[in-house]
Amino acid sequence: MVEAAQRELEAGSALDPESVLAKLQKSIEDAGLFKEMNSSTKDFHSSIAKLGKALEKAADLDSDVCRALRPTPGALPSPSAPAAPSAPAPSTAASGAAAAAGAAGGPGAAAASNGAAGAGAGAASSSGAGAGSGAGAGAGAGAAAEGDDPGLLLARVIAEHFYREGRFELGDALAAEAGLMDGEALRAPYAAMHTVLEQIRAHNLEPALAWAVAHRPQLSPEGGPAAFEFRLHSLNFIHTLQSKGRTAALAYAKKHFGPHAARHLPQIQRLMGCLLFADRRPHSDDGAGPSPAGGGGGSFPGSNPAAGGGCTATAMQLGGASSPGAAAASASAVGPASAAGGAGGGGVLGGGASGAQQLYADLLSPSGWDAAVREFAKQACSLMGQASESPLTTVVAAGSVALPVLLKLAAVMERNQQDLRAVEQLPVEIELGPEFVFRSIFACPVSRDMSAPDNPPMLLPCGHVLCEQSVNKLAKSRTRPFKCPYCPVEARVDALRPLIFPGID
Amino acid sequence: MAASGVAETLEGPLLRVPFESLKRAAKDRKALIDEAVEHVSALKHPLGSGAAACTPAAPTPAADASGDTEMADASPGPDLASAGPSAATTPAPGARVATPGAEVVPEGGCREASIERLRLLLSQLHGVKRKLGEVSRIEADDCERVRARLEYLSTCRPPPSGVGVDPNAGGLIPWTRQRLDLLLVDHLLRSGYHDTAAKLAATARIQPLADAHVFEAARVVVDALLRDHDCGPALTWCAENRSRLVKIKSSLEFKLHVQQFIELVRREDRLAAITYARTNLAPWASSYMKELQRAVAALAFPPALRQRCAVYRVLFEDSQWRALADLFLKDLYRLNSLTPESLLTVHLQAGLSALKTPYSGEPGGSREDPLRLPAFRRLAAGLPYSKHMHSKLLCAVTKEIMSDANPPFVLPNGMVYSQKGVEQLMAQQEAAAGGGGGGNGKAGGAAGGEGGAGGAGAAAQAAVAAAGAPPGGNWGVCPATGQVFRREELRRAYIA
Repeated sequence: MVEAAQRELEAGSALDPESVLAKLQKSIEDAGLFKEMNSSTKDFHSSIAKLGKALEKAADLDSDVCRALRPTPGALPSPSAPAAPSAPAPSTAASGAAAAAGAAGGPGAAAASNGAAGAGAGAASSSGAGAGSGAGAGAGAGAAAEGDDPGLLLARVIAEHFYREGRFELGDALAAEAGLMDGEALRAPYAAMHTVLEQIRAHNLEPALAWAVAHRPQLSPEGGPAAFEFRLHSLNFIHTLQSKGRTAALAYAKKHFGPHAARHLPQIQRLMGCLLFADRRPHSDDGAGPSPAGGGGGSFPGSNPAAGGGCTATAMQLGGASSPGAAAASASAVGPASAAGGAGGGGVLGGGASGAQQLYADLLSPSGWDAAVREFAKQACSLMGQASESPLTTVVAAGSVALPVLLKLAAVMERNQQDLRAVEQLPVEIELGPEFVFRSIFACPVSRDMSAPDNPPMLLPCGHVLCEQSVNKLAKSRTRPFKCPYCPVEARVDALRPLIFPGID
Repeated sequence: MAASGVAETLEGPLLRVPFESLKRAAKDRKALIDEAVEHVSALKHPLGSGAAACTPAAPTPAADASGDTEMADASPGPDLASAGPSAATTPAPGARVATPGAEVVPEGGCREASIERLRLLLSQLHGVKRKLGEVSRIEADDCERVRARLEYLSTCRPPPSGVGVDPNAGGLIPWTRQRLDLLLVDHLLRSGYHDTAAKLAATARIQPLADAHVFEAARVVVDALLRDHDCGPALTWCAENRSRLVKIKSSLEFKLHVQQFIELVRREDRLAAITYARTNLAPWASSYMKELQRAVAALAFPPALRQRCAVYRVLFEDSQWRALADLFLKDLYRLNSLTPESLLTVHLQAGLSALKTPYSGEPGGSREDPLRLPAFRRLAAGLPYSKHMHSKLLCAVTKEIMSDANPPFVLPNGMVYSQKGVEQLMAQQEAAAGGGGGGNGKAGGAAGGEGGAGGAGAAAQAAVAAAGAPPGGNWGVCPATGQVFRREELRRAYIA
């Protein structure tokens, strides 16, 4: 429109440019475009406001999550702080690395030290932990640099987290970007683990099984194959059954289940039961068809005796490997199973079989692979002396429970002119849940203090437990009896016994 | 704490960033439309009364100069190009718009003047249209982000927290595993590890949940400051966001100018330094007089003297660049409603202090304890310890938490295990005794469970078995000390 007016003006057709402009203005206004835009914008604004209110309801948009945050400890400008920990820091880091490398076992340790040697600077931290100058030059370089910069320390933790989780690409990228000197050393312990994990994700259990066999002594201290190994075998059995069919699965069972029969007979029997129903899925899918019983009946009697026979054969074979009693048990267990199978073949097909299939649904579900991945990572990490869950995940999980409490607390304390950031100990107890209890903690029910080596928990004759300091306060003298604060029973201080909660590891 | 409480407080920032951005964009849209209306309605006033037209127009743009200044700077309009980015003195654009027209009237013919006005109007409207397009794009992106985040939040509910929840059934840890990637992306971006952040966001498919777009521009600015010691990009950013920086009373732009000035002094280019101070530092005199005086006084010191006076030495130190970058990031976070610190740090600190005990790192803790690791202990340095008013007892045999259903039992030697634990210890002995006839090796194998304990137990059992075994299931061996205990010697402990 403006252009048209301009053309008109330029062409000189209009006599009065003023009026043309006025006309243009009027026509623009008449077009109502602006009004429309204004009203639509207004609508837009009000809908945003509505969204804002809704979000406000759903989440606390203005919460200041940093309220309880302390300045990063390493960044404190006080000169004494960096000086004091710098002396012990390299040694703990070095011993930690060495411990990790040592705990990784034969090949793992070799790989770790190789990796460290490649990193150069990190080499001293794992191999030369004892050599003072070596540790100073190597671990000192890495740890001191990190000590100066808490950001780097955190970057290192994150990189290790990535390696642990098998996201090697991310770990490498971070190590490069953050300039971590010991990236290789961080990575090495997990390298072997993750090739195996990749294979499990690709439904190939061979490397995992090889690993389980190689680590039998650690996985199963009492000798013989470990439970984990058996679970891998059962997963492989199901996989074989689903991909290659019954005969292959049977052959697999005969080949591998023998050594596990002593400990896992019930599970093996269940797995054998699976054989019967493995190919029921297509039939039950056809179940809505006109002749389910006929179709099912056609195939079932044919296959059933074979499967039943297979079960018995396996039981016989297993019996040879295990004690006679176990063989008897297996035979008797297989008996009813094949009888049930026979009955099914006889005619009670559709409903009975699909019901039975549901019994085995957990075995046949694909989630078994994820479980295997998780269990393998857990086993491998615990063989390396590490936690089964990434420590970073654990801490952040604890943090997400603790944070709301801490924020409320900080607000309350602020109102009372106190500062949460300055306290030595949190003023309230934060209930994190059972997954975050990592050691026995005894809190005296009287004083509410944690027990300590110089203040041990004491067992009263009535079975109640108090800390020694509380007991001493309650009892006026060592020889005079005092009453338990929780029950009428009396006790004498010199008759009390200190309690010990044995460590977990 | 209710389950929703956790999400309410923790996920606020996730929604807040795109929502605030959306609000800002919508505000800009309103300002732009107002501007367009302004431009068009300027036509209403005949040229003759140009001065009159100018007056009513002037106050409005000045009032929301916030929006207009940015636009004037960015506008490529031919008539406004001369204004340039140095619009520190901010002549109201409305006034400028009217001026050329008003000047033209007396000289040229009416027609040329009108054509000129139309051209101006056209370019102005084009500018508005372009900026509206940008705003629309930002709005659409923000809406998309809000939607993605709400969807994410609705699928990823936190588990009912705390007490009495089965840790295996979709517990806190799996929920955290999902969230952690988000926190990590945020942290990596803030730390400047952009490549890793991008890779992580891509592999975890959480791009719409991360605020990478905020950091894209920041990357250039921070790199220039830290690597090239160049304030240019930072000053450009300040110009683009001046109105909002003024609103939060940011000293960033002033400090950048001081740094530029110091660089000139460092080069001993005093004349240029003085000129620079006159044009760029003087306008800030009212707010930052003290800093301004100190910076300008640095002119008087020859390089050798500067080193001796701490106040002035600081001005020339390299750490100033780091400080500038930090200040820039701080303002950037504020302008984009990001939390001042990375959420990962916040979570880590909360988690570490909730887990920290005076005994963390000492033997006896579970290997699952993150604070067993030196790196985590160093992260936790300076944080408060957690408070425990209630006992939480872990059984060393079963690794389970003792409770009323599985109460603690005291052995004669003072060691405490759970009921299940002592039963297990005694059952081991019973099994070992039962299979004892078959041979010691096999008996040891059957005593499952504890690693070191198994060995100790087997040895003790062999010794006792030789002396004549007590009835099975009525005695056990303490795995910590190897001492034999009998069922009747066990004492139940009551722990509040």
